[in-house]
Formats: sequence, structure tokens, C-alpha cells
Amino acid sequence: MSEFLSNLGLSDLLATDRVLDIVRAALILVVGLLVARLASGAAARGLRRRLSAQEVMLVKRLTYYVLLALVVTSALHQLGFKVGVLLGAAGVLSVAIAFASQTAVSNLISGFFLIAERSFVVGDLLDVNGRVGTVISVDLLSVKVRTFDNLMLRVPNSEMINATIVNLTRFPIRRLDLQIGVAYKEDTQRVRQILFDVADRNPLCLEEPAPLFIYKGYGDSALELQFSVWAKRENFLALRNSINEEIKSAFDEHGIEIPFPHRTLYTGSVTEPFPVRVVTGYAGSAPRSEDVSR
Amino acid sequence: MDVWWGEYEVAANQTLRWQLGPKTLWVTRGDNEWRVGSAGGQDRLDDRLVIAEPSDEPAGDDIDFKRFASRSGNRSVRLAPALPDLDVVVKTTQPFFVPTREETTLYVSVPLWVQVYLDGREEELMDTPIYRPSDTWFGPDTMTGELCYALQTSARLHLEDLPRRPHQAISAVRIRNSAQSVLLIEKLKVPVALLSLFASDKGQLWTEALTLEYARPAEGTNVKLDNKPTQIAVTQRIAGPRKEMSKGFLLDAFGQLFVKKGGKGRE
Repeated sequence: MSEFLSNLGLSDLLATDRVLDIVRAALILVVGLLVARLASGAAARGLRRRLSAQEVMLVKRLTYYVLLALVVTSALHQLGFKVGVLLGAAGVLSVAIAFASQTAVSNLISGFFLIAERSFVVGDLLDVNGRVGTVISVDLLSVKVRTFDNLMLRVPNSEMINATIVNLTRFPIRRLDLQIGVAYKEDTQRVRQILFDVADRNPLCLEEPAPLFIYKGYGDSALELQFSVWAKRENFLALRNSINEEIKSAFDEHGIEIPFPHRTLYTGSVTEPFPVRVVTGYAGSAPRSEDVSR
Repeated sequence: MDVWWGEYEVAANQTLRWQLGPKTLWVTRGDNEWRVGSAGGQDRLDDRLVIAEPSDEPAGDDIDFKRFASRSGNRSVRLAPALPDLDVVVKTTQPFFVPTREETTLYVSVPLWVQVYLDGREEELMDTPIYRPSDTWFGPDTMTGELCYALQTSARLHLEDLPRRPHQAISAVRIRNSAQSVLLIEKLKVPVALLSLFASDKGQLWTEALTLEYARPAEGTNVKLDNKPTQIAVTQRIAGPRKEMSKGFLLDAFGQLFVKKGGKGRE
């Protein structure tokens, strides 16, 4: 019988069918991958104007992976695998994988929330737990930030969603708070006028919102003042440098004292005056000294 | 008033100097290159005017120098005045009311920029403010609004009250209140980026007259531009607008529009 079949060339034929299935599956895979790539690219292009960069990336990846799953399933079906059984097995497997990859899944889900929340976008300047840098990408598992000293900071999304993040570039203008101490002898009205004149002369300092002068209190060595000025966010650093210089020069010009911490030595009401030694003459020659009492 | 803009021939290896109020400009024609330098003070009341005076090439860290490669064909430079690159906000000396169906004209002194072009070329070598006005924020809050320049001189009701300086242009803003409510003006945004510059026969620079019609306060102010200044007879157009006005353009000229929470619309 087998000899008869072999004579008819059936086993060859069977082998040919198998080859055909493999060829078809390969074709589905190749064409499908191409379609998935083109479709995800087209979806991204179509939505680029309506959505942010991260959302576009998310849509692109989701489209690609859904189409990829369909293509792989069809290819397996073509090869004769029972997809239903495979999916059942995959269900059991996915539970096992989910347990094993809790962190990754948690990051992934946090990533979706981060993107949906839109609290920052690529290019924003963030302060994450005291480290400041520019967002270079918001990926499914992590946010990548370039710090000012040119280091790449990778923050896992799950950490990002729990952390308090300060977005330094969300709004177009920023306020610079200057903490200034002046000596107790100074007239604060005069100091206030000098500070406002400095702000008025600096073109980077916004006229509106107007600068703010706050009398904060009586410090150990100085009257504590806060002077707050506004700037366009791009000019923030330039204003910070220029206005501090200008305030120092204006204070020097008007004889306003910026005191350093003072310590007064007092040894009780019955203390004798401190002896002070006045030294005259130069190094090398024997100093002549006399005691002076104050 | 002397005319400082126009075309100036520069001899080989010669430096010319201009003093336009607080701004000093130097242009040097070198071998196969042009060097343009500028330095400026912050005294806006400075009204010195020196035009194309031969000078030595300056040196110093406070001078902003730029060098441009050029074949020897170019022999002259062109200086042109320009309006600021952002809109300007001007205050009135006291709160100013325009009742319904009333019309008034306010005169505004706008600081100028100076542009330097090589003869026959479109791209400028330098575009710099003669006096850099202070930045200001024009908007209902610190999150929404627009960055503008703040003018130091307030808007005047009478033209003769306005100081005349070679580095300032005059803009006549007609304000018409067609709304059912009184219009209070404390500050006014003048869309100078949409305006052109004209020179009178006396050398004074003007922008074309513009009308701000306050009709439906909830939507914004209509802006209408005349094709020339209406206050002077003989005019010559010196420079075009920095940007074209789109159709149906509405301006928040009086700072009264508020952005709806969570949306881009205005109420």
C-alpha cells in the first residue's frame, strides 16, 4: 500500500502542502508586519496635530502591537495551530508572567496615567526629588530626563506617579524671590524705593505683575525683606544674575548696609570693661602697647 | 528732525558711526567682510543724533559685534527703522472712561528698532532695539496672557503733549465704544507688530492710524487699520508690518477677556 502511495507521489504532495502552509504563514507575517508598521505610522501622522508627542507615541505603539498580535495569530492558524487552545494557554501563562513582572506592569500602567494626566511634556524642565532637568522622553516604563550636568536620569513611571514633581516651564512667566537682609539702622521706605527703582531699570523684570515687597520680620542680625520680581521663563536666570548685581551696586551707592551675623559679647552687668590693646608700629619693630579701657 | 534711515556708502576699510538716542551703531567695511557693532545705554530720554560719522573701529566687551562674509561687490548699507517685535502695552495717566457711542483718539509714542541691511539684500544684518523697553505681562492672570513691552510714557489725549524723539514713532489709536457699557481704559495693548511705518516731510515717523472698536466686550476688540497716518499730509512708507493681520482678527486690547477654565474659549 505504502509502495502504491509512494508510486502515486502522495507523500511528496503532503510535504508540498506543508511547505505551502509555511510559505503562506511567512507571507502573512511579512505583509502583516509591513501593514502594521504603515498603519501605526499613518495613525501617528494623522493624530500629530491633535495629540501631544507622548500620546501620539502611545497610539502608534498600541496600533502596532495589536496588529502584530493579529498577524502572529493568523500566521499560527495558517500553520495549523489551534488558536483557541493557544490563547487559553496564554491566559494561564499571562497570570504567571503578571506575577513575575509586577514592577514592569506597574510602571506600564503608571505610564498610561502620566501620559493621560499631561502634567509635563517632552521638553519641559522638571524638578524631580531635587534633581532638575529637561524631559527627553516619556516612555512606557520610565521618564528620561537630561540634567544640567548632562547626565541621563531614568525615573521609573511608578516612582514618577508618586513623586511630587515641579514643572518649572509650565507657565510662560516665573517669579524670582530675593531674600534680602538690611541693617536695623536703615530706613525701609528708602530701601523699598531703591529696590523698586532697580526693578524698573532692568528690562528683563516684568512691569506687570508688579514687583512685590514683603517685610518678613526682625531677624537676628538684619531686617528680613523679600523682594519678588517676575520674568519671562527664558530670562529667569539672566534676571537672577543681573538683578542681584544691580541691587548690590544700588545698596553700595546709597550706603545701605547688608549686615553679616553679629555677636555681642556680654558677660553680665557687673563685668569690668574689656581691656583693648592698641598696637602701633610695624612687624619687625617692637610694638608699643597701651591698655585702653572702654 | 534729521532723517537717520536710508542708504549709506562705506569706503573700503572705513568705519561709520551712528548715534541714535541711547544706541550707538558702527558699520565697518573690511576685506570680504562687514562688521556691525552696537552698544546701547538705558537712558530713554537720550535724544542725541549722529548720522554716519567716520570713526575708529571701537573695541570693548560691552559692544555686540557681528561679522558677515561678503564679496567685495557690496559698497553700501541701509539703515531702516522698525516697530517692536512684540505688541506694546501703554498706560493712561489716570483711569480713563469712554462712555457708550463715544470716540476718542489716544496718541502713543512707540520705541523703535533699527535694522541694518546690506545693499540690495533682503536679510538684515542686525535688528536691535534703539532703547530696550521693559517686558510686561498682559493677561487676566499669570497663567494666560501674552508677553509684551511696557511703554514708559503714557498715552496722551493731545498730540502736542507727546515727546518727540528721533527713535520713537507716533501711533494714533482711535477708540470707539459701540458697546452698551462704559469702557474703562487703564492700560491698552497696541498691536504694533501689525503696523507699518511712515515718515512725514518733517522726518517724524508715524504708524498708520488704527481704530479699536469696542462692540462686543465678550469677544474682543475689532481692529481696523487705515492705509496711512491721518494726522500728517505728506507721507512716505518706510517699513512694512512684522506680521500680517489675519481675517476676523480680534484683539484683547483692554485686558478684559478672561479665559474659561479648562478650555481655549474666552468669555
